Amino acid sequence: MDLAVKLYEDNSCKLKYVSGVLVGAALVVVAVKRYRKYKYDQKRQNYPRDTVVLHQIGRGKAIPSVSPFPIKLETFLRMAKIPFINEHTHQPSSKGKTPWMTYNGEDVDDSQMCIDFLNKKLGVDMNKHLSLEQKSIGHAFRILVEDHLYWTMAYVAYAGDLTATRSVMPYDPLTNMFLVRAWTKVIRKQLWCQGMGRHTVEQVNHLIKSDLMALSVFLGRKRFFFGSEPCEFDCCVFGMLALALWCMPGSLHETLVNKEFPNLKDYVYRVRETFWPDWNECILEPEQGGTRGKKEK
Amino acid sequence: MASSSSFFGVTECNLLCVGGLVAGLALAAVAFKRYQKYKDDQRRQTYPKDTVVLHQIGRGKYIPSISPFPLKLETYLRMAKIPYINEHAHTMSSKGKTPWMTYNGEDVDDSQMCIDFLNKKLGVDMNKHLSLEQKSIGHAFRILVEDHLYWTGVLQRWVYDKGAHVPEASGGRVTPFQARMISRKIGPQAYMQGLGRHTQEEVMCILRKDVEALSCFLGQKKFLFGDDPCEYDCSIFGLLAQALWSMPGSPHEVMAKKEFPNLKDYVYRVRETFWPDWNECILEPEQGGTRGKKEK
Repeated sequence: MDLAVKLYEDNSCKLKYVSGVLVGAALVVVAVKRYRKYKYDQKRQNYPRDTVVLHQIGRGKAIPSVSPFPIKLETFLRMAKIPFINEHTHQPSSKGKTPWMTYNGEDVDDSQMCIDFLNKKLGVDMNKHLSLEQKSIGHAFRILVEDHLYWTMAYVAYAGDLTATRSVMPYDPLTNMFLVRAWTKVIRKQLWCQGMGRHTVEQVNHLIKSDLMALSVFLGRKRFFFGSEPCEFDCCVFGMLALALWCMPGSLHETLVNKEFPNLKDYVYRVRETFWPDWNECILEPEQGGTRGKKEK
Repeated sequence: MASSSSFFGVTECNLLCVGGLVAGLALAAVAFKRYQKYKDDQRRQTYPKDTVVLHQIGRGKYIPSISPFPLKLETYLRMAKIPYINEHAHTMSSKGKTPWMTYNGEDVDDSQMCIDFLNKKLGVDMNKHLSLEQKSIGHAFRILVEDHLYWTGVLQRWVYDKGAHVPEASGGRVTPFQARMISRKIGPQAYMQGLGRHTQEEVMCILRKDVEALSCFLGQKKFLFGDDPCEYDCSIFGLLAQALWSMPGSPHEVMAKKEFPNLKDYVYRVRETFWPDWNECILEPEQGGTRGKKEK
């Protein structure tokens, strides 16, 4: 009987101890979260007025971003001459995506929704010189690039061998390993749900070629997508093709853009020269693993 | 003291019984699968030569298929005058999708891959009258319809409506329980694809832009690229037909019927051209269909 009481008492102590630790840990977590929110709110109060705060995932080794959508949005801001600052953070939007932006206290996610928001807010229209038919064609090509070509790139980068993907990630080796592993798991599931992940490599290669050929044929010898003046659609096409050129070494995308569709390569360089004269300052320095200042291959 | 022949209170005899039952069930499953494969192989041997066997999910109440891709592929077969027969079964392709086809013993899945296969095999080219630029634009619009507009339809049908109209549209072949189960799976898929992360209002805005682009490009033309139909008309028709006949009360239906009347006229035109027997390709009233009934 005494033994039983002692055991009960011992268990009660253990229970009290464990409960205390759990409650303490929960309180610490809540406190840390509240502190971080407080600091974050403080930071937001310092955002300049009438300036876009563009939240991105950091610069790349040979390209301003390892994701096409931040490049698209930043190119648009430069094209439309909208004042902006970058905030390089791994914090995704409320939809779990990147990039997103804050403008005078208002958060907007999804690159295209950011563009539509700014067009409406600031009365910007980089497509005003286009006819209605050209806008409809541009819209179709934007979807081709963002909802099809993009998935072929995700397939190549994450569905098979990850060596090339790891080589372009701009983080330290440990973060690289962790992030690539985490992203691979999510992106493979996305690929399956979207449909691209159900195809064989050969089938995806055929899709890549079809998409790039369509882009190349439509672009033809034009300077920009719809002639001598750039437009909003050039931002998303540039964002995606820039990734093919500078962030997917050894991929079919890179080979096709570099060799088989040279007008696409010329086009990407042209957009870069026009809107990214400071490209070199927007990539990582050699000390950070980047190629800033190095001669391009 | 516990019996030496028991394991956590379960006797040897009980274990043997359960083990025997599980083994029996496993053997029955294997036998059943083998039998199904045997029947499948027997059936495949009866497939006619040089004829596409188009595997679909069955006819709909108002429309030959409540999925846009079987409708796309069947429209293409009619357009290209390729002999085919339908096999309406719930068998999905090796990729878990519908439709798929068999041609002289060879299986091909994915509607576009079926079309590319047949184009190559039979020397068909429904786009030969188009310029290279038109083909590039057609390709872009096909992707807009199949990889973007399609997902707004998926969200409308399975997430916002929770599959409520599917049992009726399928003529009762999909039960309300099945529709609810499918609806639960589709939501996360749409989230993974990306469009499912947006609010319903945002998706409606995206839908409007896609439909506007289609309507604007089509304009007053008979088909997408003028007086002669082409391959791209098949996929646009397949999707827009869903808006008209299998998504009652949806924003898709409202936009196609009322806001963009050239799209409605276009769908009816393609139907008249390639589906003169449309009425025979929908379910009979006894099967829950509207065959023979006047269209609303």
